[in-house]
Amino acid sequence: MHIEKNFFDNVFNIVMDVKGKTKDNHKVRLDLAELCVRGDLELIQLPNGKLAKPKANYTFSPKDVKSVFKWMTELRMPDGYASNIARCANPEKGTLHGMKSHDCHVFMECLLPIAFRSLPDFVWSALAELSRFFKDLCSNTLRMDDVVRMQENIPIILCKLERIFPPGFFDSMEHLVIHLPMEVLHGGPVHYRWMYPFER
Amino acid sequence: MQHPSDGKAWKHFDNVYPDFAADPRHVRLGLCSDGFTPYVQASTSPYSCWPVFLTPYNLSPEMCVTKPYMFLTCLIPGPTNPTKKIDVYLQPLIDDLQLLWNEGVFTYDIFGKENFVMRACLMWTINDFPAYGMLSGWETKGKLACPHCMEDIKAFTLRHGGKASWFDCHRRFLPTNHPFRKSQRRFLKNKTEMDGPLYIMNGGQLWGFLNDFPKVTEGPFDNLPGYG
Repeated sequence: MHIEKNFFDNVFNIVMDVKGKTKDNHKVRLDLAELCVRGDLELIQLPNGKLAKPKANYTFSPKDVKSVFKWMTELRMPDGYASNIARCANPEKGTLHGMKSHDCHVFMECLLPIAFRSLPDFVWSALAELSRFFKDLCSNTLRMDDVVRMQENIPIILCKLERIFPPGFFDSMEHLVIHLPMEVLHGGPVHYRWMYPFER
Repeated sequence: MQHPSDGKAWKHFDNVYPDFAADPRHVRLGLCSDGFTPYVQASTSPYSCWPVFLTPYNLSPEMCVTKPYMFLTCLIPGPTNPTKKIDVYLQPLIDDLQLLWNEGVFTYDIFGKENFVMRACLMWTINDFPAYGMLSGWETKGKLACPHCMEDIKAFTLRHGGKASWFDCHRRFLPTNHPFRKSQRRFLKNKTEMDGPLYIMNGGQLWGFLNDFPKVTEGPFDNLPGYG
C-alpha cells in the first residue's frame, strides 16, 4: 500500500514537474550524464556560465500541467469511492496536498492513464501498464495464472520505465514493486495484508 | 484466489502441520503495528505511540480484517519511536503467542457446546516500511533496503544526488533471452545484464542465517560489519 502511494507520488511529481518535489533536478541530470547514454537530457552550458536543464520528454509543459490541474478540479467521484480529489489539487502552485493513501490508490489505478494521456506514446504506455498492473494486483479475486503472468510482466514494465526516467527516480519503493506479485502468490489477495483498515 | 488461504504460504503451512490444520477452530493471526501521533502534530513536541493489533485470518472474506475482529494487544508508549527496542516491548506478546502455539489454551466453543484446546499461529505481520524495519531487524534504508533481495542487490549511491538508486536492478528478473538484457545504451552505460533472478532463501536457511545474531535484550551492540 505504501509502495503504491510512494510510487504514485514520485510519478506524479516527476511528470507534473512539481517544484521542489520532482526527482528530475540538476543533480539527477548530473548523475544521468555519468551513468547513461542520453545526450538529450544532459545539462547544457549557457554562454553566461549557468547550466540549463533541457525539458525531458517525460514531463509536461507548463501549459499541459495547467490543463491537467483544470481537469482535476472538475473531477467528480462516485459517492464513497474516494475523497474529493478536486479539493486536493492546487492549480496555482501546481501541487497536490492532503491526498490520503486511498486517494493515491484510486488515482494510480483509474485516473493515471487518463491524466497523462498527452505524454509521448512510449511514456504513456509504460505508465498505463503500471497502472494496469496495480489494478490487477489489488483486485478482490485473482487467478493463479494471472499472478504468474504479472510476475513475468512487472520486470518488463520496470525496465521500460528505466529506459525513460533518470536513475534518481528509482528509489527503494520503485524496486519493491517487483516483489509484490510473489507476495500475492504466497499470501493471497492484498487487501488482507495492506494497512488500509489499520490506519483508519 | 480470494482469501489468504488460497496462497502458497497457507497451503505450505497446512502440509507441514497437518494436526494444526485439521481443526478449523485453530486461529491464524496477523500482527500489525503502526505509529500514530495522539496529539496535534504541529504545536507540541512530537509524541508517537505504537499500537499493536492482532487479527485472525481464518474467517470468511467479508469478516476478515474488519473492526470487530481486530484486537489491540499492546500499546507501546513513549514520546519517541521504539526502533530496535520494540523487541523488548513485544516480548510478553511473543510469550503468549508461544504458549498458544505450543500448548494451546482451553476454550469453550459456544456453537458446539464443548470445551477444546485452542491453538494459534502467527501467519505474518502487516507494517508500513519503517515499522517493518523495526520488527524484522532488517534495515529498510540505504543501499540494502530491500528485505527480499537482502545483500544480493546492485543498488548504488548517486554521486551528485547522494541517495541510493535502484536504477538497472530489474533487468535480472527478465527472461534470459530478452533483448533488454543486451542493451548497452538505454540502461547503464556499456553494461549488459547476464545475472539470473535472485535466490530466495527458504525458512531453514534463513533461520541458519539469523540464529547466530545476538538479541537486543542481551545488551547494546555495534552494527555488524558490512551491514547497516
